[in-house]
Amino acid sequence: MNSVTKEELYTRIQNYHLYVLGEREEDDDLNELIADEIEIADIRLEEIYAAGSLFSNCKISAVDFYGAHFHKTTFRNCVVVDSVFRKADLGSTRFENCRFDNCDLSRSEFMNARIERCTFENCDFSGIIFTGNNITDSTFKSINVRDGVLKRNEELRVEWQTYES
Amino acid sequence: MRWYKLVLLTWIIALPAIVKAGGGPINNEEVIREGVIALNKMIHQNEYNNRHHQSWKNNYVLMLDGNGKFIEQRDVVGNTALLLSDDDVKSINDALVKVNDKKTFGVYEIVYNNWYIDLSERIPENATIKYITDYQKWSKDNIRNTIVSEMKSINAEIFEKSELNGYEKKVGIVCGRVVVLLNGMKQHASVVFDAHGDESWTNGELRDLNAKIDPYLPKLSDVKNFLIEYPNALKVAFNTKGSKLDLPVMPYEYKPAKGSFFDAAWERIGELGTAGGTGGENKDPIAESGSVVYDYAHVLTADEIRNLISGLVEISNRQGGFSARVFISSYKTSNEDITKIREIVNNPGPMDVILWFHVDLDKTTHSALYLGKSVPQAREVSVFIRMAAEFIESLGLAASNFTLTGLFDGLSAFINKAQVPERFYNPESVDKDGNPDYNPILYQIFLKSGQLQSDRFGLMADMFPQEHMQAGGFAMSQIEFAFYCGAYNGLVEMVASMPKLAGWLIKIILNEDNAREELWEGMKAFANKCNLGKTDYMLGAISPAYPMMKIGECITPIIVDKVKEAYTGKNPCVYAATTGKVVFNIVMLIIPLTRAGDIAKIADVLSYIDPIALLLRGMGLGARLVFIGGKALYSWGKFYLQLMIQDGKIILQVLDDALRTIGRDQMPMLELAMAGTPIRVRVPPGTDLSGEWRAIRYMQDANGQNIISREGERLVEMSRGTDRESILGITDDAGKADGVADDVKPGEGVADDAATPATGDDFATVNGRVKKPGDRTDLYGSFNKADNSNIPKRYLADESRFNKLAEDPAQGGKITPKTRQEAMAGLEAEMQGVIKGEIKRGPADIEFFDGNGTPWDVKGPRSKGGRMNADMDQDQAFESIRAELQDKHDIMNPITNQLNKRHVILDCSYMHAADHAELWRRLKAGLSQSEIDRIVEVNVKF
Repeated sequence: MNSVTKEELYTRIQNYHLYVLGEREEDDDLNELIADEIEIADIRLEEIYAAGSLFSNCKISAVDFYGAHFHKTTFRNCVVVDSVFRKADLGSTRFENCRFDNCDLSRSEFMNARIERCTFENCDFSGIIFTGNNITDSTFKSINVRDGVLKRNEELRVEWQTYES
Repeated sequence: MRWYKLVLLTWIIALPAIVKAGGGPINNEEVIREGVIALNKMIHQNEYNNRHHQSWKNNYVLMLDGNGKFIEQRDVVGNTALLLSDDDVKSINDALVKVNDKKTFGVYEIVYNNWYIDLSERIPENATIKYITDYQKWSKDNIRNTIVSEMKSINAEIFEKSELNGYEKKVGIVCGRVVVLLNGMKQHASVVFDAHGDESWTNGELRDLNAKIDPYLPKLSDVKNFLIEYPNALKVAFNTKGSKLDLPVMPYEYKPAKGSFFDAAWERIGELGTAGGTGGENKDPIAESGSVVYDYAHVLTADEIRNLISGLVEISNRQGGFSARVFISSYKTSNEDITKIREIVNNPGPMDVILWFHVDLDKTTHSALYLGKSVPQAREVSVFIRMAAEFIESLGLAASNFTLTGLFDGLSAFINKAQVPERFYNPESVDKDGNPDYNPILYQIFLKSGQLQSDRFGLMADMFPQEHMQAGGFAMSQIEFAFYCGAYNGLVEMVASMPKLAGWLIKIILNEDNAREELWEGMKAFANKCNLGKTDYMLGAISPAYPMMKIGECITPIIVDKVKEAYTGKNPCVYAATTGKVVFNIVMLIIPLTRAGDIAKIADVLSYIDPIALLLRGMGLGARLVFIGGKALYSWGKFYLQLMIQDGKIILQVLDDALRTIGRDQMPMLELAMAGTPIRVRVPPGTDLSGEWRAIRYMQDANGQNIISREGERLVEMSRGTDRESILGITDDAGKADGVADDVKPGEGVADDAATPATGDDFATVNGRVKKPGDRTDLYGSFNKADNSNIPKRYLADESRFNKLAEDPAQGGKITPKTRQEAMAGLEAEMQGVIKGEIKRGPADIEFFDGNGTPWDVKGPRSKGGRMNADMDQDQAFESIRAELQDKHDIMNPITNQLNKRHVILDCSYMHAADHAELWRRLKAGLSQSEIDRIVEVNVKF
């Protein structure tokens, strides 16, 4: 993995955003990068490739990651709010000490992940495939699990408060 | 002199500078000079003709033959056919003679065949216009802008410098093809078109007219018809523009023939109130309409309206449910009523086929067509009505079927997917009460739309002995048309519910894509196949009267003999239709033996037909083809096997001599072994079970895949002891009770069987499984974010539908590359008949509902490659499918209102063979057979 500066990451993200808008095409993948203490907000990054990367101490706010690829990506000490992960690939991801507030993870593939000391609150897990995960010391509060598959997870000190709508 | 640009249309792109193949850039001045000289010469000749009362000799189309230096009329490079044949040019000119019949409106057309441009760098196959224009790797100029300006300047200058006289309004058109070459070989071709009006046109006037007529025009790729229809539509729109009434563009125009019904009816326009139907101050056309016939011209009597309504409603009920609605207005109709009509026609019901007739003072009748969104083949229906416009002028309304009702009847049959009733092809047809019911509409359209083929090929003459054809005195064209109808009926009967086939008859009737010649050429190609080197294949026992014939002999005699059998002394049209049916059956059954690729286009159906047809392959000793009751059957002891395909699946039936289906329990069963694995096989009743029977092999189709019926039964070739004669058996209990561990559908283990070469469309789906995965990891996620510009055209025939399928309803209709991939997979599954069309966008929880209301989710795992440098996560790919099929809630079927299990379209486009095989290994291990049966595979075609 390569560390990127805030400027480099922003350039890639901006390029990708322009690509989403159909304006240009550049080297904009975020695969296998290390991004530390970076804030990303109010931007469309649909289907972005960010596999095998590490986001640490990041704040992500109102970002559209629809269908994005986070396979084997690690989120560490991150706060994610008002963001969309619908249909995203969250397979084999790792979440450590993260907080997800008011996020849409509907129909995402959230499998074989490792989740430690995380909080998911007011999140949409409808249609999610949430299986084979290893979860410890985490809280899932006010989670919509309608039509979701939440099975075969290994849980230790995990609290769930779910509803279906 | 002022010139105003009228319209410019291009498809694809090209032309940074005009370049002759292999030569250097040339000066446009030469092209212009050549065009001016040629146009002036033609105009002067026309003027001479007019002075000598020979205006019928006039020409208004100029083909620039070229001088070998600048514009090449003849095919030079890349085997590019001529843009227009001599017949095409004649047809275009005939149409222009009509357009230019008065001194008010004149159109000239200059057509060139090819301009060439040489490239030094290959254009990627998936290049978008944007990519080409932005990156300009092969040109300093912006290619697109350059070709636009080139076309404009050339057209403008030719017409400015020509001596155009005689017409108040003049329009000049230049149209031609750009061939893009790479290293001297054709890379791709495009057609460009430009039209200019003279100074009499006000600024924006032509542009506005063009915008109005554009929806009614054929595609520019249909060059001939575009050049025919464009000038006519422009003239009609121009003429209508002067009306004080607020009329829409009405693209069809004619004058009723003297003595026709409409001629008489229009006479009544001046006699308001006397017609009786909707005449009189107190008669409201809407109230009297029955929601079918709206007579705002007050020309129909009450009886006429009633009869018309009942006739149209009856046809609607028996022909596919399309709803005819007719509006009639005249120059006397108030603008207020015109507004009412416009309001209705602009908001048609889903199945509405609306015709609006508007009559001028001189009885010139304008008409327009409006179609509901569920009416299929909208473009072809428009062409149909355009062709019908010329004989609508002769329509009656009384006992004859050549009426408005008959027109709708023909149109409904035209777009319906059902068989064509005899009343359309047999002039002596009678209804169940013995009354004549012949409807000539389809035949008339057929006649107008292209030359006959039957006189060009000897096969027709072989099939139809002269004495039979001459019986009844029918025209050869009538017999040929009946033949097509019969062929289509045979096709529909054999392969029902196949959406791909819906357009075949339409193509034949309209002769689109030269469908007639293609059919005949294809038939001729294999009819003449001799010495196939397959002498062990027998096509015998067609009837007891004919001995077995080796297929190594020519096929023609087989067809001829069968056709002769079909002759029952009926009139030649019925005979021809029966023949068409028989021949088509034979054709379809023989094609795979001959591998006659020539016929592939007609037989887009081949991928469906193959499993049936290929029963012949390798089983010549065991089964004999017979025709009984017009059906192609395989003799099976004293019984018959019948194979049909419905919704992409094989249905295997056993019939007795009265063609009644018999149950499997009536068939004796043998316990055998196939490659060491025990299997149970049903054999024909009456089979001598003594002796040592052995299973030889499973029957396979053309692609080497086992033939498996919808119920999972397989066909097995088996024989006894040293007998050379083998018979067919049917595996019992779908092959599942036999304990065959690897009892999977074709395709599931394709990677394990790499030695079996795929043939034909290597990526097609057979029995729900792809022959091999697409392996296009480079394309995964590559589709544009913002638009459909790099989506293959086959999925954009109806782009608004594509967009609807690609929308994610949970995200306000968001469309992304991923949702585009899903839409392509869904449409491909529909196009191949893998799932029943028309698919519709589902709710947030799934991707699609198919035509039965079955819910489908798309899974598109991708292998390593492209933008992802990681191996495919097999655990995740399997779990995603497993959870979908095993764990997720059932979905409400919107048609049956019952809960249905979810199904999966597995999009294999982005998988390597090894990943595909491994995924199937896991699926087979982790899912039940019924869950596996809810998976269909497909490869998107790029």
